[in-house]
Amino acid sequence: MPIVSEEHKRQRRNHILLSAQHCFAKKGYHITSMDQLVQHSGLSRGAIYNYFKSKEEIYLELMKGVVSREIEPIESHIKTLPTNIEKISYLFDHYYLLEPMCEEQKEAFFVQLDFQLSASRNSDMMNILDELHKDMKVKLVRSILQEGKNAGELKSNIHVDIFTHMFWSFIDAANMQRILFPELPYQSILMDQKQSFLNKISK
Amino acid sequence: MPIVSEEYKEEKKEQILDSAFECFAKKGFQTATMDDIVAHSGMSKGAIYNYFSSKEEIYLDLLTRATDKNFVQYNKHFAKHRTASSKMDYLFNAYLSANPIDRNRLEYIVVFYEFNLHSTRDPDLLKQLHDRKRKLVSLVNDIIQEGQEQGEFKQDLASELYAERFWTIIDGVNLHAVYDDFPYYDVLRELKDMYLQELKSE
Repeated sequence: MPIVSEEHKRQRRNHILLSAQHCFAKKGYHITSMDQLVQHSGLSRGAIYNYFKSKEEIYLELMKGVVSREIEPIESHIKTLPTNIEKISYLFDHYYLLEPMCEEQKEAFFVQLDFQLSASRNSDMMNILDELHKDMKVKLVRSILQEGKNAGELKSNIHVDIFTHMFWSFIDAANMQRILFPELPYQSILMDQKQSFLNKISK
Repeated sequence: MPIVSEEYKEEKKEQILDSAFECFAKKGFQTATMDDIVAHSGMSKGAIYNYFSSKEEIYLDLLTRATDKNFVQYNKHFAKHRTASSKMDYLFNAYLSANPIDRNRLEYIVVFYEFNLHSTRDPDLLKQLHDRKRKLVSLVNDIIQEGQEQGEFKQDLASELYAERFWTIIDGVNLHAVYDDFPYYDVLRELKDMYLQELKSE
């Protein structure tokens, strides 16, 4: 038996997940079968089952990866910014700069949205989604707003949780519209919303 | 062949629409099939195909009916409102007065966005959604322009973009209503303040 390096395993795993992301975005999770996932990945059935037990497991792992791939670049850039106002500003800029969205990004948003909608019928999925949403997305924005408040950069009376949810609900809706209607001026809409948001929270 | 009245046809159609919506809500738009709808409705396959040739056609009929109903409602109210600000207020309040955790409303929202996602694979469906969106945007755009003419709203504002943003706000709170602890009212109220504050002239 050949010795397979950890790096090779990691790459394989990623390859399977990205290939599945493409299938789920193109056909929908429920309609896609494990056979189709195998076929599209170009790997053998056995190779895939080495990494994942089922389609469900692929879906869940994919979701975790999708959210961290979305959030990690934002987190790492934000670390380099000195003020909380600049950090908030960058949150909007990050999404503004995803233009045009590449296929892989579109598929990632698509899969997230599809998962969110399916989760409304399945409490196990909802728990996982809730956790991902809270641990990654909500936490990131909330901590910036809280620090900005503590540092006296932001108004002292703003409700951190509410503004965090305002941010994500708007961004998610804007990204969905961009997937549906790429010809609409979503960049301008994001910039206008950013301005309103900053006006509302800055001292 | 029996002569079938328009009224009878309409009744049958509504029966199919109700039954189909229940299937979409339960299984998801993608997963539900015409066969599921036939089985659930208790009607024959032939009877259903007499009225609709696909689940997409059924859903579009449902959506058009709901949208038209809303428009009738909006226009009835707008006739009573003197100012553009009070019309905008009314539109926001229509969403603020909704119950975000109402099961039926949530199902309606979920199926609507599932249909949206499904439509990305079909240019004809996407076109229909696009046209519906244009209607919604122009409803708000008209109010904003009226307010600009009356001096209620800022003159230098790009009204159509601003109208588009209204619907992004609404999509956002509706989409996030599926999360258990989403503070729907507080978020929407704050977004409303933000939106109207920027819109109104000093």
